[in-house]
Formats: sequence, C-alpha cells, structure tokens
Amino acid sequence: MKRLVLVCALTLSLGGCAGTQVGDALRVATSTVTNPVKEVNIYQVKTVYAAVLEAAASYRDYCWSKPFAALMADPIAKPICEHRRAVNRAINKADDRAYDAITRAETFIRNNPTISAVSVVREAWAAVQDFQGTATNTAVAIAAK
Amino acid sequence: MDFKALLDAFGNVASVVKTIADTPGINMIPYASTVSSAVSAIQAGIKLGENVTTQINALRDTFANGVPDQAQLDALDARIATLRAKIHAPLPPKEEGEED
Repeated sequence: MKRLVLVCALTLSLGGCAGTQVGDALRVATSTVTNPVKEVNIYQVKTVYAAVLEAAASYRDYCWSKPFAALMADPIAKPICEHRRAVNRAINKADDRAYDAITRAETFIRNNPTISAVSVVREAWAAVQDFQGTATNTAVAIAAK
Repeated sequence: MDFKALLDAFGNVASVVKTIADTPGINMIPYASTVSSAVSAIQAGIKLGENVTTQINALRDTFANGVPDQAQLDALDARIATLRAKIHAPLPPKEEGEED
C-alpha cells in the first residue's frame, strides 16, 4: 500500500492514479490538445509543462533532501535516488528542449498572429510530452521496480 | 469531496506520524525507521499533488473560460521561471559512493 501511494504520488505518472480526482485531473492534463490552434493552446501546453516541472522539482527536492549515504540506507529512497545525478541530467536536458520549443511557439504566435501556428504548437506539445516521459520514466520507473 | 482538505488532513497526519517515528529511541526500531522513510516520501508526493492541482485547475479553466488574463499568464511564467531555476541550479558536490 505504501509503495502504491509512493509510486502514485511521486511519479506524477500523470494518469497512474486512475479513479481519483488527481487521476482524473492528470488525465485531463495529459490528454492531447485537439482544439484548433488558438492563442489559448500555447497556454495549455505551458500549463502541462509547469505540472511536469513541479514533478521534476519535487524529485530534486526529495533526492537531495539528505546526504547520499542516508538515502541509500533508506529502503524507500534508495531505488528512487540511486542514480539521482543521471536522472537529473536527463530531466534538465528534456526540460531545455521543451522550454525552447515553447519559446519558439510563443515567438511565432506573437510575430505571426494571422498565420496558423499548428506546427509550432504541435512541436512544443511533443517536446513537453518528451519532458514528461523523461521525468516519469527515469525517476518513476526506477521507483516502481 | 474537497480534495485540498483531504490532502491537508493527510499531510497533518503524516507530519505527526513522522514526528513520532523520528523520535530518538523509537527510530531505532527498524519498522519505525521504514515508516519514517515512507512518510517522508509520501509527504513529498502530497506536496507535489498540491502544486500540480494548481496547474490542473488552470488547465481546466482554459476549456471553460477560454483565454486567460494577463495576470494568469504572468503568474504561470513566474512559476515556470522559479521551477526551472530550481531544477537547473548547480548540484552539490558529488558525495562518496555516488555515481556520475
């Protein structure tokens, strides 16, 4: 049970806590933005991006909350934080890609208000999904082992 | 169900349990130590859930109310900047036994 709660909570597996309000809300967050591209769509992408950032920041807080030796002696923290530097690097790299893609989309929309922004928003969304996948697959898959 | 209230209530209970489990003497018992570890992890998860709920509600609002106002846009940008600064901050020096 503890493990379930831990994995459910820490993973921000974005949908893994199905059947709860959080699960429902996270499912909304991760569902594909299918509306025609409008100004609001990039805001939606950014909101999901911010949710994934919360998870990444939480991972960083948790895995650097104690000395490494103490974490490795902790049966709960060990599988989550064992490879914390590699996980952190992967998360940061994916974050940079997501942030750059969002910035590009925002700039495009600002400079070209009458031209369809479908491709740039789609690119930003793909980068955010990749960031989400990195944040969850690294930290979370390890935690679920 | 008031999800925020539920999280708050659980957080309070978890804090109490953690305080007990962290009490010197009690912490010597392996089970209590494990409970303490689990509670720390769960608390991290709860905190994450609380923070993410803000983003999820903002996202839901966009489907109901359309384009957010400038204050909401600014708040989101500020939150993103804060979180990015946090995850990209230089790491502390590598510790003994820690891999690259």
